[in-house]
Amino acid sequence: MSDLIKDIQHNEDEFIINMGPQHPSTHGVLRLILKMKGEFIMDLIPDVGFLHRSLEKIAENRTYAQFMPFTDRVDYCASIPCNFAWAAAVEKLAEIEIPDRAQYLRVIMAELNRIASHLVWLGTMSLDLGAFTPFLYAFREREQILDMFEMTCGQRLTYNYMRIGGVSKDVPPKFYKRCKDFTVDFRKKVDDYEALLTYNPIFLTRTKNVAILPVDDALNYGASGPTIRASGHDWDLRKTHPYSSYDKFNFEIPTGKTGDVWDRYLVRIREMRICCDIIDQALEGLPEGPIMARVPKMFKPKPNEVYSRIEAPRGEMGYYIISDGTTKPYRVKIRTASFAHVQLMNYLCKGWKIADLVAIFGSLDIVLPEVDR
Amino acid sequence: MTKEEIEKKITLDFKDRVEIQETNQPEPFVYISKDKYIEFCQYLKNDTDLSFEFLFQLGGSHFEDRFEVFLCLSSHKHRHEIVVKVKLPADNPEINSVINIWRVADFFELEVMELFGIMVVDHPNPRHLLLIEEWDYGYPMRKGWTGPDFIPMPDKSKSAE
Repeated sequence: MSDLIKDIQHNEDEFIINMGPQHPSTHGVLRLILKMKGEFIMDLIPDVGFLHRSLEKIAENRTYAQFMPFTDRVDYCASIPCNFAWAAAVEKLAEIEIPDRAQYLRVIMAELNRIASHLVWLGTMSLDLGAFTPFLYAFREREQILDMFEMTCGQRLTYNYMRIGGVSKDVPPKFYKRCKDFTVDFRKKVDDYEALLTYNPIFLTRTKNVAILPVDDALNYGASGPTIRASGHDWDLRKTHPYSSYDKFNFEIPTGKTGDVWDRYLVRIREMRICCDIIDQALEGLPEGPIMARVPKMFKPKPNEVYSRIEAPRGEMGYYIISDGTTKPYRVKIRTASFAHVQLMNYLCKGWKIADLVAIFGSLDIVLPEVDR
Repeated sequence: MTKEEIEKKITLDFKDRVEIQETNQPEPFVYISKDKYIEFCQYLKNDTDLSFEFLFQLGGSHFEDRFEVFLCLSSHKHRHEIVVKVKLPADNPEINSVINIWRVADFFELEVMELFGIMVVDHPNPRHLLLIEEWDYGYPMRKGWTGPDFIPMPDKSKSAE
C-alpha cells in the first residue's frame, strides 16, 4: 500500500483515475491506479496489501500442525489446495510416507475444490462482463460441492481438512454415490455454461484477441496454471512433477492457442471437465486402509530446508520452510500464483480500454487474500 | 539434469564462488557469493543446459549473524529445479536486483525490502507494497521484532513473590 497517486507524472492530455479498493469487479480489495488517455489505459499500477495478515510471521509462532487452519485463509476460494501444499511441504521436510487412501482422498478433495474455485471464477467473470445467468448457475453447482465438503469435514469454506501425515476424516458412506452422481451431472452443466457463453457474440467480442500473452513473456512474468497453459505452454505440475497420487490417473492437460482472454476462459472450462475425469478415476480406485500415517504427537523435524510446490486452481503454489529442530518452523515463505499474476496486469492492460480491464482481470482469476497473505 | 550433474556443472564453472549445501532434498541448494550473484543468475537463465527461465519465488530470511536471500528456480525446458542462496551481513544488508533477468522478481524484492530491511539497491521503483505508507515501526519479519502495541505476557515467577 502506498500513496502512489501524487507521484505519477503525466502529460496534459492524460489523467489519473483511481479504481478500487472497493470496486465490485476487483474481486476483493485491490486498488488500481490508472493513467488514462481518453478511454485508453496508458499505465497501470496495482496497489495491494489491504488484506495483509502476515501469515508468514504467524507461522513462526505456531507449531507445524497449528499452522494448518491458517493456510485455509491464504485463499478462501480454494482452501484444500492450500492445506495440501502445506501438508506436502511438511511431509517432504520430515520424509513422512502417506497411506494410499489418504493420497486418493486428498486428490478427490483437491479436484472438487478446483471445480468449486473455477465456478466462483466463472460466475464472477461472467457477471463482470454483464452476463447474470452463469453466475446463478455456477453458484448452484458450487453449493453441491460445498455440501459434499460439509458431509466430510463439517466445514463449508475453510475446511482444515488435511493433516500432516494424512487427512482428518474419512468420507462418509453416502459420499460415494453423491460424488459419482455429481460428476455425471456436472459434465452436462458445463455444456450449459458453454451454451450461454462460449460462442455468444457479445462474449466473443469482449474476449477474443483481447490481451494476448505470449509464452516467453508469461514465463518471464512468472505466470503459471491456466494462465500459462492458455498461451499454449503445456505445463501442469500434476503431469510434469506428479505429486501425491496424480501419476496413477490418466488425464489430459488443456492448452490454448493464442493466450487471449477467451483462451484463458476455455482452458478453465475444459479443466472443470478434466477434474471430473480425475475424480471418477480416484473414486473407482479408492483403496482401503488407514487415512493417517504414524506421526509423533511431538512433531520435531530435523534442521533442514525444503521447497515444495503443487498445482493450485490459480497456478503454482508452494511453501519454503526452514526448520531449526524445534516444534515450530524457523521461517515460512508462502508463494502463491496470484502474487505473480497481479504483476501481469500492467503488461496486459496497456493500450486496452477500461472496459477490457474488467475482462482481463477476470480472466487472470486473481484472489486478493492470496496476494497479500 | 540430475541434482549431481547440476552441482558438478556449477562448481566447474564458478569454482570457489559457489558452495553446495548438503541436504537430503531432491533439488540442489547452492550458496553463491554476493559479488557474483547477478552474473550467476544470468548464467543460470541463459546457459542452454540449465535454462532456469522460471523464478518460482524469491524471499529473505533472518538468522542470528546474517541475512539470506533465497531464489527458487525451475526450468520448464529440462524439468529441473534449484535453490540459490546468498549470505548477507547482519548490518546494512544490500543486494542487487534480478528484475532484468526475471521480471516477476519486482514484487518479491519489494516484499523483501519492506519486511526484512534488505535493501535492493537498483530496484527501479522502490515503494511500500504490503504495509501502509506511514509504516515506521521497523522491519516486521526480522527475528525478535515486536509491534508498538505489543504487551508481553506477565512473568509468572515475579507475580508469585
